[in-house]
Amino acid sequence: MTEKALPLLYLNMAGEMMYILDQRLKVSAEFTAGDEKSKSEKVLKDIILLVLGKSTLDEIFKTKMIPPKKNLKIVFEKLAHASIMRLNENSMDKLFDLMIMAVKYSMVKVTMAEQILTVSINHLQGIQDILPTDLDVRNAIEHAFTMYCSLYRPLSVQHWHLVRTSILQYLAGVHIKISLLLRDDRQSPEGVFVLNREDVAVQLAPDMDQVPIGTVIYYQNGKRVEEKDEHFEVKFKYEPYKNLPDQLNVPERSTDMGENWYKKHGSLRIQGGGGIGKNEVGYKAGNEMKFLESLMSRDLSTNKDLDSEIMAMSLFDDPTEEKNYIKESEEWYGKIMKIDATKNRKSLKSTIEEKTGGSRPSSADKKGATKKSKGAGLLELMDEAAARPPTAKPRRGTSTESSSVKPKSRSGSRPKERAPSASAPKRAGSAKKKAAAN
Amino acid sequence: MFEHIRDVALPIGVIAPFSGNLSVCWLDTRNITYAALSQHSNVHIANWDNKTDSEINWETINIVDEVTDRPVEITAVGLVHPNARNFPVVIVGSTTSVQIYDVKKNVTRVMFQISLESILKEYSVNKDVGAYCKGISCNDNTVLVGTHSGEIMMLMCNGESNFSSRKTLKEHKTPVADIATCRYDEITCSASGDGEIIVWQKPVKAVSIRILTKHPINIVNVLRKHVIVGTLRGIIQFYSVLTGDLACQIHAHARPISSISVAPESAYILSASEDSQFFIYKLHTRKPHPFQAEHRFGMHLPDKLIVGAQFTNGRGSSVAVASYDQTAISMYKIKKLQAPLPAAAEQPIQPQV
Repeated sequence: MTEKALPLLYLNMAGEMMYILDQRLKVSAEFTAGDEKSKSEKVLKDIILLVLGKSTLDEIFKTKMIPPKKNLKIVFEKLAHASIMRLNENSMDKLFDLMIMAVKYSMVKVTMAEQILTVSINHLQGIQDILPTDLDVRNAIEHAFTMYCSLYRPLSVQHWHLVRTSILQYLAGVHIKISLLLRDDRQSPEGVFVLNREDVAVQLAPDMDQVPIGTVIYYQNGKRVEEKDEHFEVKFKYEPYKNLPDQLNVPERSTDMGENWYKKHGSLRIQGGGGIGKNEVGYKAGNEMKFLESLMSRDLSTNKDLDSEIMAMSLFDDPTEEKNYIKESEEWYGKIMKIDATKNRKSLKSTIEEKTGGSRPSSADKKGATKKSKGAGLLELMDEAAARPPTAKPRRGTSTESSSVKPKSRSGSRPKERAPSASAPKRAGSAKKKAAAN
Repeated sequence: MFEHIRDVALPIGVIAPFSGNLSVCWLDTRNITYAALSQHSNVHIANWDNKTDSEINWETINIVDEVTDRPVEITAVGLVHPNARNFPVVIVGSTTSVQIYDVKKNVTRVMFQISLESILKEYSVNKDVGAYCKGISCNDNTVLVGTHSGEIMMLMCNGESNFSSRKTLKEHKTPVADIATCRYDEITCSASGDGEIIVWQKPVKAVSIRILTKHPINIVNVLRKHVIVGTLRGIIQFYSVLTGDLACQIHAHARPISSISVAPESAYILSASEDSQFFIYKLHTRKPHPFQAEHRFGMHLPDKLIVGAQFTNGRGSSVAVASYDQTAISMYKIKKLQAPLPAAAEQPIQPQV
């Protein structure tokens, strides 16, 4: 619907990724010598400079559609491995789960859709605060800030609403339980976000604080008739919008969402499994993955010939936690019921073929013919790339073309005939309606 | 006033986040109510007997583009009942096309499809916003579908399974937010996101009156010659369709209004919002009672980001609510008043010794 959703989703997810990596690297540096600390800082700097690099952001801003989660995970995997640090597959899955859920929480909770920009600026500020004295990082942050502000500040209220709806649509159905949110009563044990609590005031949108919620105002000839005002009881307390500037390096903004919550609470635990980037159901590979193609073709690593310095890192506190995560994720994935509604679908094309007695055999009938959508070849390539160890030598001359035969039509299956209705139904009565209207 | 009756689980998946993502159509003579809602590229259609509160039957349609055969992203679903037909039809608006399905026979078969690119004059009006549909209504036999370019598509129902397209109506300058028709007065109103409301002449051809609200409109409905507007800021406004004057403004919600439903027989109005609350009002317009939007009831559904709420009959005695990311729709029914207990029964029972 809108091309403006992906850059915001990307920035907010990238911010969360940086917070998590920072927290994890700090924890591991606590138990090691000073040399490891400088190594951690180098890792973080390498990743930040790539995540907010001009060429990466240009690619993101050029891309029109949000890619499937599986593909987006590969992008972030590439970015996370920009330096000498390496995450194993399970840690990467967990990282992606945490990123997705944190962003979804912000998108659900914002006071108004325009506040997504504030959340994004909070993320930029949070990234800057990871390495506050580094000039390169500061420049990258300022460049990204300018890019986002120039693109998003002129957006209308409706367009913002569209952006938020697009992102929420993308994140629908993801209910991973995050310990940190569960502990703070921000997520229910069923994995649903707690939207309003009776003890916490609900923030109103700007200019909505002039009239109390629960007021009915009457007008006559365009003028308010104050003596006719009515009031009714409301359940919540409300607070006015904090009209603070959306700038970098200011003490406070209108919301704290998007700030680094791992600073206060260190837990990165997930309950009940996840693996949304791996186990995504129902996506269909499309050809909107041009940017991924370009990212995949580039060597993103900023460190060459440093195989000996490779630093393995895990997002799990211990092997037991990792085992539980794998087990619970598999169980969760096993619970998902896959129903292919396309089987019963009868398209106009198939109906015409049926009526005209079209005899062209469908591709599904052809022996050995497998159906592949556009972009499936690229996805296979990416799966292959993800499966390869990060330290493997780069391959040359890899073709994204698939050798399989492209089918001519989508499916050869026919829907089951429905029983015809017994009799033609009568038209909805109108006498009652007219009586009501009068 | 209303109490929770049951939650009805969807056959598969969760509810999409679009405002107005629940459409309802009831057939008074047959006591059947149909409801439709979207979920990415699926549309779920429910039907039940609203007199006996029977089990709900579901049908699921996977919407794919007829030309490319790829799943489409649904942006609007509407159940409408053209006069030329015996049963309603489901109108599915997406980012590429508009499709029409029958609710009764061969539900999964497309009756009619038209691509947005082929019918809209200003298809690429805004390079940042891709094509989409929002706002579906029907006046007599004219199905109206709002689009991102501000144009309103007109699809004529010429019989049980015969639809044709007409020239689009281009009066709105910004994307259409919603379209609504009063099925008794046959008054159609459309609204755009920049706050402009257009009241259309009968039949829908030319503009009768333009109302400039200066509010970011998200949803509209029409009842007793008033157009009721729900904004993205949570305000509800009532404008007269005859004069265009603002009659009333309700500050009830703190988040975007996602649905406004009307019950023509009782003049009840339902407003629902992403703030997890829905409210019921009674609209008084007939003399000697002065004009009043009387607040009757409010309900908070904890942690539900409501995206669609509708009365499921003309009396307004039952309500269906759809919330983002939920796997079920919630049903509510008006409570029956308890008859006062007889005097003898009020006395406490003495324990036997």
